Formats: sequence, structure tokens, C-alpha cells
Amino acid sequence: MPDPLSLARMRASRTVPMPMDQADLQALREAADAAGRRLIEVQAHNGRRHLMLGWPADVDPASALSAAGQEARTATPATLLPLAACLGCCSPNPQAPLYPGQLATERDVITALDRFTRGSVTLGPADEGGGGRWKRALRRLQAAGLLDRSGDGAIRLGPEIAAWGDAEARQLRDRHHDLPGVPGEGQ
Amino acid sequence: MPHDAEPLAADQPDRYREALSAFVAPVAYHADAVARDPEVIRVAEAVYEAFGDHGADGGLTRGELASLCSKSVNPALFESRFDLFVSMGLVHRYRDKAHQQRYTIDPAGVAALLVYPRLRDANGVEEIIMLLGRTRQDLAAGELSEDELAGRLTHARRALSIVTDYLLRLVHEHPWEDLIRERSQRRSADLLLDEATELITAASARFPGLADSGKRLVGEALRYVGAVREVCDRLLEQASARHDFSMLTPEQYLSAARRGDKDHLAAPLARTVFDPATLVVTPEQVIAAIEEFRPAPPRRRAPRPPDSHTAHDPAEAARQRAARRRATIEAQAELHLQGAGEVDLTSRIRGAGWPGAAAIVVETLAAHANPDIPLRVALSTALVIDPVGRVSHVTPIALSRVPRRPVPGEDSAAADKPAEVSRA
Repeated sequence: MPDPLSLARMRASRTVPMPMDQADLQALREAADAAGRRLIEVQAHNGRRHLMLGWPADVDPASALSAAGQEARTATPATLLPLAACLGCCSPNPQAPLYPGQLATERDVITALDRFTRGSVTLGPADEGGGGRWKRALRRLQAAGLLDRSGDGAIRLGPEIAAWGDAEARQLRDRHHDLPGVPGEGQ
Repeated sequence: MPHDAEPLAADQPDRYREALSAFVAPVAYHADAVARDPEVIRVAEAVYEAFGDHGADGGLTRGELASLCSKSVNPALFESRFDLFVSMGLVHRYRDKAHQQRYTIDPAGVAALLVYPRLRDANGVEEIIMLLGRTRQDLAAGELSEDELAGRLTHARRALSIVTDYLLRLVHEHPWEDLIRERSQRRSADLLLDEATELITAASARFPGLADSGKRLVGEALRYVGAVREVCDRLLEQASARHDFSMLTPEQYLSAARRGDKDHLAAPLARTVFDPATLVVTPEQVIAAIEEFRPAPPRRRAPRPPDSHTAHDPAEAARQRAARRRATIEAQAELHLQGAGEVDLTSRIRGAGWPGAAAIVVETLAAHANPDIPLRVALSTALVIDPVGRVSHVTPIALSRVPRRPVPGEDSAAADKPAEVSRA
């Protein structure tokens, strides 16, 4: 029997622990199917398995959200470049899966961004310092589940990265050497 | 008090009109004492404003009043109300003379216009608070006897009892939307309790026999405060359940946003579930951002191509510089020789002074050192000392010609000729 309440809980908290009971898991799957969504299994950094709500492969999330009357926020370059640097720093091996990747530091990411842009990229008001601008972008990425940050400046990729399909992830792997933070980037 | 020209409007019952009707009921002639059109009070307010701003100097004529009121009310409505105002004494002649055409407003009418707005929200509680405050001041001034004070306390208690019962009836029997207009009672309740407590404290100290009346008044005040709390609790309950934000006025929300701390502002939404922030990002967008914002690599300038136009040959240039140098030295030597085969340069060096003497010696020795120049220098071992001459010490030097060294491909006979001949 579908379990819409658990599905709503998953939607609000982004991830939920993998149910131990197969019947509970099946109920969640049915609820996700009924809602036009799919379940994504995510193995966190600590090895624990979680479930996350995703979109079927043939559905464009932005269009689906828009059709549902929700605002589909799209990322600006000021957010995309820091995400690229996080991907480069947290996933230095192009052969390994992007998620969960490895631990990096905020300093690594900001250094990679500064080196990548060579200070020539203007993405915000002129009075904003580069470091502050990148940190604000990291906070946005964290809020969107694309990044996990701890108080001591450690950075990991967030569970939303796991929602990317294989074909999309392959695109990124093909251009892995261009990511900021990857040794020999852009060569 | 009917008025023939009154533009009555058969609108639905209005709370304000109800309050006004109840207000004038004690002195009304019949049930329609209060006009149905809510706009009529605007005429009275316009008249009041006109006299307040322009009527201080001898009042206003009807025409002046109509002109001033026409800015805010319909002139026809003004005309229909003016005679009523005159007949009821709200507006009367400035001086009681038959020919007097100027009018002024009666202060009692002004008091009424100040009271009416309070009926919109306060339901008479403001009047009770004022009664308590005025009684406390009169008591402090020693202007009240015990009987007068007892009468006022009883008057206030009765009024309070009626207002409290009204509120409790609203809470228990009316839809919650009817309670919204009572939301401002909370502030009145606090003020009322403070006034009642202060008055009873002062009254009991002055007239101990009124302690019982005081207790009953305070008890009624507490009952009123309890009723107001019930109103607020029911409003909060309904507003929370329905997520209805109309309970507070927009200005109250603005004040809360500016002055409230984060925890208090978050409290109403503590049990509200939100979607987490969503940001639609695809790897394709990430790659596009990299390509768009990566600065171009620094350009390395290609080596400059050889200048084909000038055909510059540094070796040939060096050879030409050496040939020019040799020709210069030979020319200098020929000047010394003057066509002779040998010449003693000692006297010339002594006569040249410095630095000319040094130049002659250097050039001559350079000619000797160059094998391509057919000249030799012979240095004497003597030393000529001339303390008063231009050159104090000089070694005698002789310059002489030698046969030119044969050049490959050149006729040997020609090469054996003296240098001057060969140059010629």
C-alpha cells in the first residue's frame, strides 16, 4: 500500500534512511510512482544507505516543477563555477563515481577557483570580494543539497549529485580534466 | 430626527452604524435616529475641519463652508445635511442676530466627533478607562465626597460588567471572524486593570468604607481581562489552525518584522513543513560555465621572422667594419709617411701633446699589429725626457713600409709593390 506520508517526509528532509522492512520500501516505491517520481538510493560518506526523491530519467525537473506551479530555480554562473570546483576537488579521479567522492576543504575549493579564473571573472557587484562571493555560492549549494559542509571548512559532495543520471555523469567525466581543482586543469 | 433630504442607503448592517445607534439610543426620538448612509458623518467631519482651519476669525458663511467642504464631500450631500446641522445646533449663527449670515460649530458637536471614532474599535472601554482616570484625579484633588466616589465606582463596575458579558458572548457564540475587530481590546485590558487597581488603592486609603465597592470593581476588571484573553486565545487558535494572517494589521506585522528577534519570528512557522531549497543543475550547465568563464591562456608571441627585406649579414658587416678600420689606420700612417718609405715619429709625438701623442702611438702600434697593413714600427730603447715639453717622456718610434703580404688569387708581383702603390 502506498505510503504518501513517508514520501512527504522524504521530500521535506531530502533523504531518509533506507527502510529495513521490504514492505516499507515497497510502499515508498509505490507512493513515488503514484507521484510521478522515483526513488534514488544514495550511499552516504559513512557508508549508510539512504533514499532520496528523484525524477524519472525522461522528465526534465525544471519543466516538471514549473508545471506543478513551483519555482524552478536555475543556477547562475556564480553558483555553477564553485560547484565545478567542488566536483574537481572532491572527485579527483575521473574513473571513480562522482558521489560520494572524497573530503576537500573550503580553502582548496576557493584556491582552485581563484587559480581557474585568475581573478578575471566578474560575476557579482564590483565591491564583493572574491572569497566572500565564493563562500556565498557554497552556502547556496549546501542549501540545495549539492554540497555538505561542516563547520571546520570541510566539504563533501551532497546527495543531489547522486541524482545525476549515468549519461549526464559521463559528460562530466569526459571533461573532468577541465574542472577547477583537478591537477593540470585545462591542459 | 428624520431628515427629508437624507440619502438613505439600504446597505447591510454595519457594525459602526450599530455602535452609533446604540450610542444615540438613550436620547433618540425614534429607531431611525442614525442615518443609514455612512458618508453623512464625513459631512460633519468636513464641517468640523472647515471651522477648525478657517472659521476662527468670525465664522464662515454658508457659501464659504460649502466651498471648503466640497473638497471632501459631495456638494449635494452637504446641502442636504446643512439645514439639519443648523436645526439640531451642530452649526449655529455666529451672533444671535436676524441678519447674521455667518456660522460657527458648537463645541458639544466637536466632542461628539471626537467620541465617534472611538466607537469603531473600543466598544466603550475607552470611556470606562477615562472615567476611572478622571475619578482618580478628582480623588487626588479632594473634589469627591465618599458618596460621589461610590457612585462612580458603581457606574464603572456596571459598565465593565456589560462590556465583559458582551465579549464573553462573542467568544462563545459568534464566529471567530467577529472577534477580529476586538483584537485591540488586549491593550485596553491591561490599561483598564492598571487604572482600576490604582483607583481602588487610592479610594480605600481615603475612604476605607469603600473597600468592598473597590473589590467588586477590581473583580469586574479581572473578569474583563479574562474575557479579553479568551478572545485572544480563540483568535490565536483559529489563526494558527487556518494559517490566517489577517489577525494582525499590516502595520503590526511590519513592526514585528523590524523589532522581533529571529526566534520569535520563527515560532509561528515552527510546525510548518517546507520543501528544501531546490536548484536545478545539470552537468551540462557545469561544463558550459567552465567553457564560458575560463580565461584564455596567455598568448606566447611567435619568434620574429628573419627580415628578408634588408638581407642583413652580420659577418659581412663585421668584415666591412674591419676593412673600414684598416683603411683609416693606413690613411693615418700614410699621412705620417708622406710618400716616404720610413719616417721617425718622435718629433710628431712630442709636438702633438696629450692626448694626440697617445693617439699617434696607439694607431701606429695597431697598424703594426695588423698583418694586412704593410707597415712596421720600430721602438727605440732610448727614452727622451723633456720636462718643459708638451710630452715629458717619449720613446723614439720609427714607421716604415714593408712588402704587402700576398692575398690568395692576387698577382704576387703586384703584392710585392709598396702599399701606397698597390692602393693606387
